Amino acid sequence: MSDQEILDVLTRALRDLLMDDSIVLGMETRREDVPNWDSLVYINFIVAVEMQLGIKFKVADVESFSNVGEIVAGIKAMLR
Amino acid sequence: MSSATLASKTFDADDQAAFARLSGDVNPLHMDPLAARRTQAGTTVVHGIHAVLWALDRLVESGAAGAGIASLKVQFAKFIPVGGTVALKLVRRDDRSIRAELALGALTTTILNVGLGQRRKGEAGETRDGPAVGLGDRPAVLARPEEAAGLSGSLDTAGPARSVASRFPHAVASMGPERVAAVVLLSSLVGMVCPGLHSIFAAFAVDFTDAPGSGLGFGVTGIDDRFRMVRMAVRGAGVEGSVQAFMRWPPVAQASMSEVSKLVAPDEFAATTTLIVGGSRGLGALTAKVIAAGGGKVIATYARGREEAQQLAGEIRGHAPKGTCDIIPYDARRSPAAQLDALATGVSHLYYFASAPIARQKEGVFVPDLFDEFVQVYVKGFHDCCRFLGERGSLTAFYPSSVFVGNPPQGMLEYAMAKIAGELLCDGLNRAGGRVRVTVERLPRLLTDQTATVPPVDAGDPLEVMLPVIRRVQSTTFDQG
Repeated sequence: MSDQEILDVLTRALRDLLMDDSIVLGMETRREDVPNWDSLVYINFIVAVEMQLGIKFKVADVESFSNVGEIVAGIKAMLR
Repeated sequence: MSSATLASKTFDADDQAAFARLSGDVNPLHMDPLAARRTQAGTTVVHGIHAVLWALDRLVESGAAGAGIASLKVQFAKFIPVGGTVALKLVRRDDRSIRAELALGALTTTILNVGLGQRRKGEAGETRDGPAVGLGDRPAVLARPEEAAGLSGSLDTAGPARSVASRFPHAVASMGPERVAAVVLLSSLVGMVCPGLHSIFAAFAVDFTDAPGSGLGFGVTGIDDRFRMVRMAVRGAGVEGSVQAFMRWPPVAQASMSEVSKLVAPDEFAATTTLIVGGSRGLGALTAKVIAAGGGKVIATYARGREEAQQLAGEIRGHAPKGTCDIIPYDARRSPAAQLDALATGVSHLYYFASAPIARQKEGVFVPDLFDEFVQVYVKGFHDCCRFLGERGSLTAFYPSSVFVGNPPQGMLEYAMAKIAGELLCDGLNRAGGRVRVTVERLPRLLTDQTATVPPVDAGDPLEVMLPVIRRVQSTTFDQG
């Protein structure tokens, strides 16, 4: 999958969770940039993305992602 | 997103009691201030479903949901503390749905998507063939997610269905009592049954159907050990959908006197008298046990946890006949003079574990009022206590700082700033060369009630970290600095 395809998956997942179609994620987007993307929603988001892509992160990885680009990179590494 | 405020409401203790009676959800997180203090919320919080149904009632009353409610999807983002006033904001409405939010000031607590239109047919019957589950006086206690695996059952909606109209008349008029009762029972399902006592309701999505029935069936469809997450399917009483909840960590039990005594020599801390501010639980209680196990005299203070302080004193006195532990109330935000004047003996050591809840719900990078609150406890309170005790004799004090000051986690800027100010104060006290000598330690994240959060984070063993610190502080004589 390309970066953009993964980004699209992430954007759809977050839009669905926060019920907000105006959300646009970029590689530099951080959680604090998106209203209501707090810790519990973040976990829901990660689980939703995992289910869609058939992957499973380690908890330490999930804690370490500081922006969307790092999530994309983490996903690419798992899909390789 | 712009939004219009439709209504607002303050949920008070009477509201809590009324919804608890209606739903059967008497989880201490909602009803018991002392127990709730030891949870991630730090205080009693409104039943999320109560707030959702109030919002739904207002949406129907206002005519916004006049086309009929076909579905409801909710994400609980933040706790609503009891006594808090929430505003219902209509964010978007079209022919198919309403997006609304509940907000506590600038903080969004709950996101709702109300699907409009005709209800679908739905499948008759309940989701699983599980047993009928009665709601008792106490929630079920599931400690680990795997204990939820395979759980299923059915909750009877008949009782709440008879009473819901008085509390949510407009929603009942639109949706019927059985469906509203089924939504009410989602609160009981999570708070009383699965995961029960240690639960956080995260989200749900349901379609309202025309399938009849007076039982809300549920079945666990998935668990995730990593995040302590439980997913359930629900069906029955005109409702069909899914529920998602997290399992909180139980209150953290620190090492017992028996465990501590194995690591400490009986006279290791003899001839010391130690005041432990914030000694009723967490690191304060652990420090009390360590020093008492080493033969030191301990005076532990408590702010609200009198019962916990009594248990601590009982454990210390019961374990070692010579163990000495007195307990006194103490409010770090008030002058120490009146509170500590009655201390019969001179205090040689002070450990300052006074704390305010550190992981707060907040909006924005910096909240001045929150910083002021932390400074009051972590800076001024410590200064006042040191000054009072230092006037009565030489004092060796311990100030627990945190690794967070070097790299504050998201949302903890004010806490980190106050702790840095506390460190600077300690440096100033030491430089002043008076009768107070302070040891400062930036403690790693340790497993306490304050750090036992969902999502889980790595935290060290408190006894392993604190024992060498206590040995260093207790063995520091005043002249050694």
